Amino acid sequence: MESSEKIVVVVAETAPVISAGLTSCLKRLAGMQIQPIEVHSAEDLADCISTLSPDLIIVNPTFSGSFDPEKFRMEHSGKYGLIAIQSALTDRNVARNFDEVISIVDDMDTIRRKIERLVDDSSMARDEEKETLSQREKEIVTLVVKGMTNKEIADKLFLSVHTVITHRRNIARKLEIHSATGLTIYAIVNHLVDLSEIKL
Amino acid sequence: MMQDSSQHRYAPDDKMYKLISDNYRLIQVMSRFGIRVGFGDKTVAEVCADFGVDCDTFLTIVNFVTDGYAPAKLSTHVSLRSLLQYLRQSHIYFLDYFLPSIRRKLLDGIRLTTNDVSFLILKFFDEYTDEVRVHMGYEEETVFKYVNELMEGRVPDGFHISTYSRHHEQVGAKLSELKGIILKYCPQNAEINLLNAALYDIYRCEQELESHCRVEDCIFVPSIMKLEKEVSSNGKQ
Repeated sequence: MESSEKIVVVVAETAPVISAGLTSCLKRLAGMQIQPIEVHSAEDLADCISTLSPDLIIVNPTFSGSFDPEKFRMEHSGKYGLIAIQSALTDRNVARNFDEVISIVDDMDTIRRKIERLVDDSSMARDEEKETLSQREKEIVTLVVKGMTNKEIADKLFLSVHTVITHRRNIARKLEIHSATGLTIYAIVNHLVDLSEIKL
Repeated sequence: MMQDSSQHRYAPDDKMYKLISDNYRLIQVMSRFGIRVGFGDKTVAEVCADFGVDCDTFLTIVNFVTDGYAPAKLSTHVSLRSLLQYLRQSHIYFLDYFLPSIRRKLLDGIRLTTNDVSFLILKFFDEYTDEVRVHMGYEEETVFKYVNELMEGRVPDGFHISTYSRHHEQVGAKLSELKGIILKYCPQNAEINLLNAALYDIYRCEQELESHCRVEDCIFVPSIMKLEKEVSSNGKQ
């Protein structure tokens, strides 16, 4: 699940201006692949949860009368985070029992931080260590591209097969490349191998 | 008939023209149901009747594509025959039209000459196309056949629709890998406008495949699960 997964966010808000505004902000959050879905009724919200398993639900605490997070979680199981939208008119206390509160006056950085905190960090953490392969990892890419098996690579580099597999997993994650052909392209562009050295 | 999905966007007496002018992506949905443009001022129900398409199924897909989610209790309105036709046509569209057309643009764009990398990019694309073909072939050979049996009232051994659901993730992931590879490693001598056209298509293809898979996961699979239940309880009586 480590490739650029979309974050599915349901926005449950009856006021169209707030709903559309928030949705548009979510789409603009750079570096995050957010797929916002607007719903306007409790029934639609229930449908969304059962068919989409969203990552986050951003909901107005007065949604369909009043919205009780505890009751909601009991009725709709899932791994979603619950965020309250706080408009100027919302009483602070209503936001209790939510995982987070986004106010309509929050700036983009604040919204981003609040969302990042709730979304599974595996999709975020990648950013920092992206791209740069260690020397050992480059060595392994070279050998993989030349067609060696994990066992052969392990023997050649005096590593356990298990370690080689771990390296390969890290390589795939850093480069976002999972296929042999993709790795070959990476290796050639970065002059780790020459085309004559590999059999296609 | 009571439409309990009344709060969804479109209804049988909406004009077909309005649907498309609201959201041009619905042209794809329309054509996969076998409906052609040139429908005058007819309503959705009238156009569907003209083309022998089940109107509720059509609207279920239309509203799903528009809203991004499906009503949880949708199955009563869905005609599996129409749905199967829609899915088959989607497969034909991807395999016989869209992917080959992207390949042509890619081929022109990367200027396949002596450059190793452009050759490998094309190889990657071909491997991807093969994977999609295998995946869709499996659906046609195994899943759709199974559904046909179910519709005849038989429950074949050894396969259940649950075996098939959650089969989808890789199809999209590999395409985003290809995008990454082209963006990062494409040779500098590429013909830029043609390459961009190919890239645009790849992004669009990724979206369309994703939407296609979601129709399968959120509408097709639940409908089959319901049918499985019905057929096997009939068998026991």
